[in-house]
Amino acid sequence: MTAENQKELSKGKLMVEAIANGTVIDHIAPGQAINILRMFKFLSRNTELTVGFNLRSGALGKKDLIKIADVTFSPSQTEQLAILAPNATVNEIKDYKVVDKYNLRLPHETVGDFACPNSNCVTHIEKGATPRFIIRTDKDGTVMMRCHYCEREFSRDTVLRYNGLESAADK
Amino acid sequence: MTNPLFQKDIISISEFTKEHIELVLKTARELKAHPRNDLLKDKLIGVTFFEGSTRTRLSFETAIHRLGGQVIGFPDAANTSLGKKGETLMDSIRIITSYVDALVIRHNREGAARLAADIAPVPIINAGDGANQHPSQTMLDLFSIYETQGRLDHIKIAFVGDLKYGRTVHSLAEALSLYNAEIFLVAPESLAMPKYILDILDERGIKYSFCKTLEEVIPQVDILYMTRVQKERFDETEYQNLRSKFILTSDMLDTASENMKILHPLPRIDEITTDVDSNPHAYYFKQAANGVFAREALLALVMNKEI
Repeated sequence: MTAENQKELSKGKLMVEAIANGTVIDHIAPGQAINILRMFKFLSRNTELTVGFNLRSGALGKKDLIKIADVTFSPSQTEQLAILAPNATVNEIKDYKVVDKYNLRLPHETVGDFACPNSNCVTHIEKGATPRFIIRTDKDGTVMMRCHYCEREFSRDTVLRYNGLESAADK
Repeated sequence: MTNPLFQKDIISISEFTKEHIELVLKTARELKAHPRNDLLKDKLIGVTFFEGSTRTRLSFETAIHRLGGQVIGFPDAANTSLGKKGETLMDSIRIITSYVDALVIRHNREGAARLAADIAPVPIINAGDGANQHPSQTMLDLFSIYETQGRLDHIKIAFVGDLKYGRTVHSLAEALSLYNAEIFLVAPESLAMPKYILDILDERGIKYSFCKTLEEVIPQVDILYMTRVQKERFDETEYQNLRSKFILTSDMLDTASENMKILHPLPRIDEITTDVDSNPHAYYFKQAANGVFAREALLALVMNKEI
């Protein structure tokens, strides 16, 4: 048993195999881990993966968690990740140690990650038009995504559902 | 001083500040009073209507000719490489904008004008992109309101008819929200104003109310903005029922204030009966004529550092 697992066990918490190298994404809003797995196609990769759904969390009440071996996130992938899990914490692991740790922040925009739910948007007929959304949080705390081209604004959940992902509301 | 719209794309009313709107209206007033045939001298303007719209196209072409410019373009995409040979819109835009000094574009897809603006080396003027934006229509609506009321501030306006799909009412409501308008919404439930427009009104503290009949709003407003309820959106019985509620006739106007004016983006089908045309409250044909001055103003400002 690794020191990391020992520590977790001693706190009466989750016991899973620690990863030697890779990334731990913690404090994912419940329901979003599955979206992260789908978006980054982690399930089709031949890599060691540990996923926790609806784990107890002091801050969130419940949370999801992903440990994935031998994968680190580029800055653009981190932005994509932040749309799905805006308040998650990312830990980069090297030789069983956390070498970098940072909190995700909702990006101002996303380019090329999601198709526009407006079926009459020009992005559906022009291959060269990369879908692009400007992101904001409205006064109710809902994450809203506005298409750069057709100017339609959708809730993040609507965009996720349209793109074959599950919204937090579906949970 | 360089005007702030010089060499800028005109894509969406949401990008216009009050300063921009007032500059366009001031320029339109000046061009209406004192025509200029030199502001597009030696300029070639592309007028490319990938989707047909006779009035808007002729209005733009008239504006270009009156300002001394030249026009190339097409009235619909059917006989273009895009329509016939499957060329992409982006390729069409790249080619055409290498010929012209500015491009007016209309397209049935929302976002087409923005896409064109992102790749074109010359200014793009949106003449309507699907159900999204039609900024020159909004400018001519604002110009007509100013012409008839002498102000834009604190206008009481009723929007009547199809408020769900009618982009003109969305853009005009958004623009008037910069001017503390009071808005009355008269529409069947199935064609109500979309929530995102109401959210903008809420954010800007604009007072609006939902009304059931034309009769109740006519005495209260400065502007009655009529739109067409499109038959194809309803079954015949439902349409006949709705139609009867949203038709304006001359005898309904007895309670209107003296200076109340009726606007309509046209084409009018039967939501305003022809007996209204000669009523002093009718302004929709003059509104359409104002379209040329609003478009002249936009073109002149985009193509001239100073006027």
